[in-house]
Amino acid sequence: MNPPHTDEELVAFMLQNQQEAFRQIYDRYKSALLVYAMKRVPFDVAEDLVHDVFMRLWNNRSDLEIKERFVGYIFKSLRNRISDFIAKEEKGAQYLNSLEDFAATFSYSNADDLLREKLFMDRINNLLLKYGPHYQLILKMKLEGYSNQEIADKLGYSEKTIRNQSWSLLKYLRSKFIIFLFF
Amino acid sequence: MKIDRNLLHRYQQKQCSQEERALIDSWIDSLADGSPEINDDLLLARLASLDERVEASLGVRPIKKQKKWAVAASILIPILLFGGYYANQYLAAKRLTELAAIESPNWTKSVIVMENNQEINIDSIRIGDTLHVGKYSLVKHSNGEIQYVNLPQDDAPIFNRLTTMTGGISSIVLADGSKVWLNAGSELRYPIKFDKSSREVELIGEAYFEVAKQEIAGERIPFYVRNAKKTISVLGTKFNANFYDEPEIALLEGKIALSKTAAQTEAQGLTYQETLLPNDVYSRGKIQSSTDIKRYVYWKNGYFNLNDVKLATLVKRMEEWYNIPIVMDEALGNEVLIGRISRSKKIKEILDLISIALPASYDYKNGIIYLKFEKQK
Repeated sequence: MNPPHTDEELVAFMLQNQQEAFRQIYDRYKSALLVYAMKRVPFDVAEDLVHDVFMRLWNNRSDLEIKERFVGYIFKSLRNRISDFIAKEEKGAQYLNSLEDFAATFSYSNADDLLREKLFMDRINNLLLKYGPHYQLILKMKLEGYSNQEIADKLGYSEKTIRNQSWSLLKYLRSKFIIFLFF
Repeated sequence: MKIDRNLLHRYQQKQCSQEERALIDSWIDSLADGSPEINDDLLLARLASLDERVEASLGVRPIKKQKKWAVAASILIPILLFGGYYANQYLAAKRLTELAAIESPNWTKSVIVMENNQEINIDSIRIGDTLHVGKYSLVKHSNGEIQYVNLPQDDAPIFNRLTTMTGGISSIVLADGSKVWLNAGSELRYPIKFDKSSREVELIGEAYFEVAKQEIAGERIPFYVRNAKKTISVLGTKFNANFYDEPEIALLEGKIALSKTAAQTEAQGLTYQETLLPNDVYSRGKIQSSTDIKRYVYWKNGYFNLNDVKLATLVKRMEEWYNIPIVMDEALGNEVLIGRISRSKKIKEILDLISIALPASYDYKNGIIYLKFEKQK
């Protein structure tokens, strides 16, 4: 199997109007972007905003200017969409109080710009660890009753990788469970 | 710095200062702090819907995009101008439709972990199927029970584990004919074949046992259920063992004895000081007789027990069963209902029931159910 294309290669293909490259980018980031949005705005809005981010990427590809790593670019596009929602929507008003509170504790020094960027990228990388490109597929196949081995065969992973992923999920569920259920 | 919508508009237009930009960036990043993990099922549903929309957008509308926005704007602007109230009503209705779509889980959501750590998903075995796995086979009976067949001849013990996730219940017939129902989020470790002189299983969580009597030369073979907190010594009998938190053990038939502590084995000095007779319940260190022993196994037949259960406890069981967080006003926590509710009901049906019976109302936002106290009722 060939190593997967880098984001930057895919973007280059996408600029040559290759829809398949766009689809690969979409599959790579949709879960993580959706989680990022769902944790910040109502779920239905989150879905709209992520849809919007991808459609803007594809529709405006001819005048796209990406001056940084693509992963940072696409999450910043989403952050921008979120601010747009807050600025325009009726419901956005309630967010302004939270911004005011936040501003009261915020002190700016441009020396911190790099640190802020690093924190942002750390958050994204943490999201991508769990909600990477195969998150949706693995979970779906598990629900459909495929064994770890079958999933591993189909996706070209080692069985151990899949098993580890499902065990950590199980462990997480169990830890949550013990907190929730005592009687 | 003035905090208002204008600031956000300038941020949008890239006309704000570096300081303002840093503020808003950091603020949006921080909005997720303390928000709960996203429920996998809800996320999958959103992803499926997103996939469909992206496909549709790619297929139907290759490059043009003005039109959709014009249409959207022509609908949205009047709503924003005149329809605040109706929009709110609409959104509330939409949220409740989403809630109504949450079905009760109808899968066992359980796996058998074999001795080589391979997992067998119980839901993937069809009723009546025999699955050959290495040295032995598994059958799924019409009632969903799993049973081992074609056991290996040699006596080397093989231990497997049956594990249920949240929202799953599973049942198994052990090698001696004893039956075990495993409640959600629990695990049973058992040998696929018992040795001749004793029978032992380990339990985490909750299970109901119907232990078969076994004798060799007139001598009864004991059956032990071990847990980190207690060991139960059993002769033929029916009982429920709940080790989710504080041990709660309810005896329906027969006789069982409980160890005081959890020392490893009988040889290491484990003794049984407490004996339960039918209808006895061991809970919080005491044995009491119950007039309604069956309520302890309602879960096995697919019900939530309500008798003598505070709403706070019921809500915890619902969260667990439907895998969805519920935030409840503390004032409701001590309310009590009577009876039982089928677990196959949708969560919204149960919430409807609660809000009829109690001074409560509910709402559903961002994947969280809010159960609120309402005085007027």
